[in-house]
Amino acid sequence: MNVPLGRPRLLDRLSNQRLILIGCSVFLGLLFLAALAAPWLAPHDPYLVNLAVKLQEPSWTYPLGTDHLGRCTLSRLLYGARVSLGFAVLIFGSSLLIGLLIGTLAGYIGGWVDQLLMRFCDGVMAFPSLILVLGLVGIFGPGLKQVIVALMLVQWVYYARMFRGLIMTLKEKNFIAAARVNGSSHWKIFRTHLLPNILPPLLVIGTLEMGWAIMDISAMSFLGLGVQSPGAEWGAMIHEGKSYIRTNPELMIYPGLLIMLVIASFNLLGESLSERFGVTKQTK
Amino acid sequence: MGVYILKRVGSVIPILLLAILLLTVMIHLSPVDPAEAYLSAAHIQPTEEVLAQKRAEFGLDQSFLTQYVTTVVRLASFDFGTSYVSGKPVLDEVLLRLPATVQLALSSLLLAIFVSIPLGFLAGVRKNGFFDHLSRGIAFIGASIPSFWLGYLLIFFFSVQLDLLPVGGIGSPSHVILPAITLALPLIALYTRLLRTSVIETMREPYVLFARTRGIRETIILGKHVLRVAIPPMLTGLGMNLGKLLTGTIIVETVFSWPGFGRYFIEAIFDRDMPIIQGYVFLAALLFIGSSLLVDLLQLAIDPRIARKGGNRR
Amino acid sequence: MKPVLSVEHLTIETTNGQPLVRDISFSLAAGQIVGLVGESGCGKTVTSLALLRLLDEKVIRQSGRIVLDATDLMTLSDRTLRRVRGGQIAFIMQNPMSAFTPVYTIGHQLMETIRTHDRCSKREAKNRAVEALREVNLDQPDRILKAYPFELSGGMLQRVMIALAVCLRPHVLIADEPTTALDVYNQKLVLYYLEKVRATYDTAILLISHDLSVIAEMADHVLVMRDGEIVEQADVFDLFDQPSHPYTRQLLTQHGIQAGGMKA
Repeated sequence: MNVPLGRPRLLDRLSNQRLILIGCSVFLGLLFLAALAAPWLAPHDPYLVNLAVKLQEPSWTYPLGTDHLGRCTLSRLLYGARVSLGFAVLIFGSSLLIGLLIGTLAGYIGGWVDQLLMRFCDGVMAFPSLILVLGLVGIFGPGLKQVIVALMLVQWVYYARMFRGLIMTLKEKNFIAAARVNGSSHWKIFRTHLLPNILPPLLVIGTLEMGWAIMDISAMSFLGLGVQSPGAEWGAMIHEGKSYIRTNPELMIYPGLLIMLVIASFNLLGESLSERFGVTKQTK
Repeated sequence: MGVYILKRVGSVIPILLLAILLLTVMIHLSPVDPAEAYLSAAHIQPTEEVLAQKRAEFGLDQSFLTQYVTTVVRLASFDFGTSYVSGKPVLDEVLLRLPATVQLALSSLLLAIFVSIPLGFLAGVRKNGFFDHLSRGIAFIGASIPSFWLGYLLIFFFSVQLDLLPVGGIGSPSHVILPAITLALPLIALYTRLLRTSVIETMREPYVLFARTRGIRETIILGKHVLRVAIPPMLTGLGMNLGKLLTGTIIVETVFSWPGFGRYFIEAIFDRDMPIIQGYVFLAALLFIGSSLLVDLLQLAIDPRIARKGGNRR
Repeated sequence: MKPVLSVEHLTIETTNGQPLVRDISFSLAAGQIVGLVGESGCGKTVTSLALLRLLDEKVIRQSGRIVLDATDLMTLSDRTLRRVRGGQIAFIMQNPMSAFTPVYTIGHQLMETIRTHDRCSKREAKNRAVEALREVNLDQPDRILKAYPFELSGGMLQRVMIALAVCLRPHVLIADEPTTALDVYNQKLVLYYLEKVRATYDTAILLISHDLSVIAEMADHVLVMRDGEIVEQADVFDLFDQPSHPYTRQLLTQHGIQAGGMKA
């Protein structure tokens, strides 16, 4: 039935969306701040082992209790935030840059360069991403560095495709040609024409990718391949906490809850952004 | 139509070759000397002569191109080499553990489908109704929750607290329940929303209205006309996400000590057992590529329009 | 002539008060073709769906009386209404290519409709379907029954719709822009069969169209609609000869028809 929907409903959805956007941004923002300020916020040294106070209940000294080695859980969670969020941003930034470089090259130059780079992308995309990361870690050895590099090498493909597509459509639309005729500098072209077209999908994919990056980093650490003990990282904390599931389940509940909340926020943010900008999401 | 099938199957090969190329490059760049790794795993003293001999055996002294071609040929004949750790052919080790993984994967898939279809259907038919909100909640959680955490949560509640189900391992039907649920949740999250969207779109179609003007019962319209048209896109989504299923098995098998191929892969990574790692990654790529092919072929069977037209639907 | 369908003060508005159809009244007698003409968006389709009570009650408020053979359809339960739909008031859609569910054969959908209204075996339903197809002169009815909607042309599908509509011998047939999606040849064919239906079964037909020549050719009585209101209704000859409302005159001029130049 082609009947116009009442106006109030639309407004409802819009305000809901805004609420979500604001809520998630605030939550993530606070978390980022907490991560940055961890050295000052954390009540204890997250690596300090003190078997005398192991597996304690929450108290004033240890707000979330201690783990099996007597380390303050809250401090470890805060420092874990630094790892997860920090590296998520790093991975996002670097894979974005790589993707930008390769995608722009492919789109701008075209021809066999484009073909070559795109075939390369196809090759990478032939593997499920986590498995490729695991494979790389398997070949290069376990460790946080290897995991980060592996994630970077896997994520750039989406951005490359995106930038390439953008450049090619812009080429066709003669934006660039027309602007050059006008005598505009490359930077101006970039700013007025490319940026507005690129920012929305970038933001959407970026937020979702950050969520996935955090999931992958914690998964790898959980498996024992990323952050190794005594490192403080949420996935690693679950890995260590699982042996105490019967007596102290909170050791693995806290970090897992945080992971879920962070990823959920990124997902919600990404979804509302994509609704706002009318961008179609890509599923991994 | 036969031409279409052939073309589709054929398009898989270049991608596979590319994937193998990538794999070879990765291994080539590895700082680990396979010969050394093998010797250390086999607990043999790596003297110079033994090293050189092993290197020759592995073909490491040959040019990159030769290595690539050899790899392609070997993989094509399913010769994945032998495990450094056990000394047995990789293929044998794989086949030993594959059934467990397949059992888990299949159970999860079936569970996911059985839950997603009614849930997604009901969510779409009554937008903003109870089931719609329920599906949205599940989708949200399923997409955000780390599966290793979910696994332990389930273990905590059902094994530790309620003592209803076993903590891990394999054996009886009750062993597969928690792992299957853990693996299925992200899938349910996805499929439910896919079906919901598909149902909503289908309900807007003119032929649904026309069926109503003919006086056909609403339950039949929904159950027959809408569902039958709305399901294929969901199946497409299903097929395209088999990679997610595979990735999930790795983590779930580790959490629940499920003796499958995924857990073996992780062990191999810790042991630096290269042939196993290589074999797994290759098979994963094969499955990944093959599944989208399978989905396309399945669509041919389900939607008569594609079969008879050999092309687009709708 | 006693009306078969009588619409009294039908008003349709959205739940937020936006009016779609304002207080319209008209009637259809047995064997009479009433043309409903107007530009797109004036409320023609909304009206036709309202007659079958197919508008979404969560979004639409409908009031007035719709009297079919002495029963007000507005008072009926959903269950009874279902029997009316298809059984006593049949509907023909504008776009025949998208009227049938793509994954079931024509035969399946025809038989489904027949068996929904009359209890009969599959074989009987099939025979009735075949007969109905023959009535609209479609060759090889068996082949058509086995075909999927996408395998038939628009013209054929439109005829199938007519056949389907008629095989249940409804009192009223609502044809919503039945010729718009067709080429000239098929248009003439469809109108021919509609006329045949009227003549054979004395069916009342509500013919909705924005095409004045179709209305001129087929209708006995004409309703001119604009913005949800019926601005003029008259016998077809009178309307084309001496249109009284300025909007009618505007429409006629737009279609290049000179008022008074009506073929008898």
